[in-house]
Amino acid sequence: MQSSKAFITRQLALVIAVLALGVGSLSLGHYPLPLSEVFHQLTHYSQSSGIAGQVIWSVRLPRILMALLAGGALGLCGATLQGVFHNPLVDPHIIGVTSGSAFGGTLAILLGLDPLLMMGSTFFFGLSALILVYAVAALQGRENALVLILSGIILSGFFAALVSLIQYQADTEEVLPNIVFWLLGSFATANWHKVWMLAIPVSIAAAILFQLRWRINLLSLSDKDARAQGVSVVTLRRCVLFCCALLVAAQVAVSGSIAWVGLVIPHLARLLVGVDHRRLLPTAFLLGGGFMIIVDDIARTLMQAEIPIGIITALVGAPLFTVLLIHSSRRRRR
Amino acid sequence: MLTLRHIALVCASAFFASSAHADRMITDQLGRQVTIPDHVNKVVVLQHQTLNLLVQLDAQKDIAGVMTSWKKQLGPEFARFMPSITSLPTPGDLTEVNIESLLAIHPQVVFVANYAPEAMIQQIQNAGIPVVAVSLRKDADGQQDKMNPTMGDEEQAYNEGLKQGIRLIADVVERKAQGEELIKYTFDARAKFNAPVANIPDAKKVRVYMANPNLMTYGSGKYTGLMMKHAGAQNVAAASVKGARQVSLEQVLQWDPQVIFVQDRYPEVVSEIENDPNWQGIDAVKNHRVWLMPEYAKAWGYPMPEALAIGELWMAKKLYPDAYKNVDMDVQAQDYYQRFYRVNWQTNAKQ
Amino acid sequence: MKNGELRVQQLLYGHDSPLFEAMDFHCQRGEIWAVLGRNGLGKSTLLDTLTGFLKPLGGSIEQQGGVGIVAQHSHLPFPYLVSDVVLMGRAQHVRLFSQPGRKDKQAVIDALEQLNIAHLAACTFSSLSGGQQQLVMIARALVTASQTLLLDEPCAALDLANQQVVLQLISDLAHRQQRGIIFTTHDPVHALQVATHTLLLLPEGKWLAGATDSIVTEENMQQAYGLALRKFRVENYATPFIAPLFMINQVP
Repeated sequence: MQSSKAFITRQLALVIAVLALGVGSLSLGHYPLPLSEVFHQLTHYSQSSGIAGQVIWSVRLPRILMALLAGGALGLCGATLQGVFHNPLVDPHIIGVTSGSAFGGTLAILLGLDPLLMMGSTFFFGLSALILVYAVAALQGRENALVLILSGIILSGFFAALVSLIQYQADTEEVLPNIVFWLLGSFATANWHKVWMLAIPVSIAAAILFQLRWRINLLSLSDKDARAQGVSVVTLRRCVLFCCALLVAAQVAVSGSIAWVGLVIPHLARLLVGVDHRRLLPTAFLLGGGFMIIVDDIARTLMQAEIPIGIITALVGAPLFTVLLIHSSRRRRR
Repeated sequence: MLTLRHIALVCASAFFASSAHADRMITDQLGRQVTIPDHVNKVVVLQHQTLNLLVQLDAQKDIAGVMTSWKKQLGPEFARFMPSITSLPTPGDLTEVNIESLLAIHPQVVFVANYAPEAMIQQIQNAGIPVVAVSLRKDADGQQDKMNPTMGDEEQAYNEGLKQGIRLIADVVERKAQGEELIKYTFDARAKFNAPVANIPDAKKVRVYMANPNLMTYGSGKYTGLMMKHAGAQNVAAASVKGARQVSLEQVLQWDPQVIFVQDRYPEVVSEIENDPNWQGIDAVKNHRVWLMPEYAKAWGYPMPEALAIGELWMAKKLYPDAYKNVDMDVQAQDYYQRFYRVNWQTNAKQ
Repeated sequence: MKNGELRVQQLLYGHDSPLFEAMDFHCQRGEIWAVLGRNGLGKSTLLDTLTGFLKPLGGSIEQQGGVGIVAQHSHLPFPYLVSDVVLMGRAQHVRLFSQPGRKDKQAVIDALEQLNIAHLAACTFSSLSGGQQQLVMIARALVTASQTLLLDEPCAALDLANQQVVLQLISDLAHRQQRGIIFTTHDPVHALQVATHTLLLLPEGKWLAGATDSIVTEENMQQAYGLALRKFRVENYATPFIAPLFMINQVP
């Protein structure tokens, strides 16, 4: 299919495309800034460059970076989990971390916690959800992919019920709108603190997964098959799932729950570079990042107020997924 | 001759001249110390209660941006008081803001609700725009931004809170005189019109249920219950429900209110209740006492001056018409509307 | 113990309780062992135990040089390429956080060439025929560089031509490369044709092991399969044959 050289050039092109997209997005936004002003600000950074500089450096740039990291995290996580669970219809939510994080955030809003504590709560409950998934799996006596998926579904349902309970308890005029908006996901309050809070866990987890990318091919085999090749499936899978939990929990902590990206982006990536996870994982990261930048551009420019990201990813993601499925089934029939 | 006074005047004017572009410090209702420019004439309002107050303080020309959902919260009729509102930019809402749209307006101050997310307030502050949070509630220390506070004295909290809020807003937009006038008129009117029903014993108070869509209602801790109390009524939900919540039909059947009121902004609820077979067993429905309230009777969670001044009167007269035989509601409403909205009061035909 | 040897002593294996009496056999370099027995007796389970997937319930398994297995079915959730599939066999040779290197890729090419399927390297595994897929799986086992290879019913889904290919391959691997091969089959002819030794699994926990010709007899086969077989020789043919005498009742 593709030789190594062709792949590297394609990958480089993708990196450049995403970077160009990011830089281009710096010129988009409701605050009127002509392109020349954008370039000037980018090349002359100074502490007191007025509102124009502030818009570029404190509003748009951290937001674009956050979208890039969040989208990349979700794309990478989705591709990894689809491999680990031998199933291309898997979404990162399947490990229960998204629901756990959603609960952590919703609880924080109900209790009126400050943003830092809220991020901590989201992150904490997200990781706890994964630990609980393993606990439930342990109770079933086995730790194979099916058991983990079932446990994930159980925990997701449980935490979703808790979120509903909180929504029911919340004051409908004052707290509930807050919760609903947060649950839909948004990059509106992006700042450099949040970028760091996202960048650190994402870098660690992504670096680990990047190095393990060939092993994901092995994990995508049945447990028996993988063991037969000498892979210590259980330990490796725990490590991989933990990294995925880091990615998802960090993403939800800074921007609320965003659906569809983790499901659709890996399919798009497979169309571009094939199913070998050595190529798939980095491509999924880049495509996810680029996609999220585009979606966020829409979210902050289409209307005067902010549109929650989750709405756009669903409106774009569902039809896109349908098209991809149709395309791949046509390919198979040929 | 008047040398000393002259010198004093010269010194004073010099002092004021040098501080002409200085700022002043105010404390908002979240207890935050906020530095705002001396002269404020360009504000963005992301809270409907504050928007209503600004219009009544005759400050609408200083408003440069409003919240997206003003129509939903205040009713489309609000444009009557402020025709320019339909063309104003809408950079955000109660719980979110598009920071660039906001910056593009270059406002001097942004008014937000006390329950606006902390992250949103921080973001606006970090962009260099002062944020003033309004709650219309004066809680004990430490409970300022809680959603359903356990207020020892709800009455005190909302009375003082409303006054403090009006004074705060008036101070910011330099309409202090109008603020005081609004407060005086409101509380005087209330004292006068509450008197006839002030001493009704609890057992004789009319049992009232406030019906919002989807079985939502207001329990304790909200101004709604206080409004009913001042009108000589009792909020059936206050005993067991806290805050603005959804209740079950069973609960409403159990409470069996004698009167059901519906806010002006939800006219469809009246016909829903009257035509729903499940509600027919309730006293209020049986006796055709499901009433739509006029625009000024804002029985919201937050107190609005028109609700205190004439809303409570309307409710009291509706429940105890004998006590208010010689009070003409339309005259009272017209007086208020002329003074503070500067338009004529239009009777709501659905009443 | 030399490279390529697998010794089983007093082995008890099964899922909950031992399926057979304590087993002893020794597969040496260059030997080909056929494992015969009725369906469901425990042939595959034996292979699972020999690879370490299942823990033995008693006794010991000693091996030197690694044990590779070619499973009966391999379901891949994604349309991997043949070269990707074979490369997976290098898992034990690639460090945990490393990627496969030139040596690994060369091993893949070598294995594919050895099996004459190098031209299929860039095809999708799922687009291949059953026989070709089997060969790819064998190539994957080859790149593990294990000295002992286990094959689970390698001929089960193959037509006669492909069976020939696989049996020849088994012979080459053992005799030319001096590996030990153990394969399961339910056709005793395969054992007679290519296996040097046979392990026969009988009902009620009994088993027999030894040189193929002495194990694959009409008596033993009758005991194992419950029907009569005839062992015979064909002119100018090196190994004996055995054929089943099915009793088909024709309804008048």
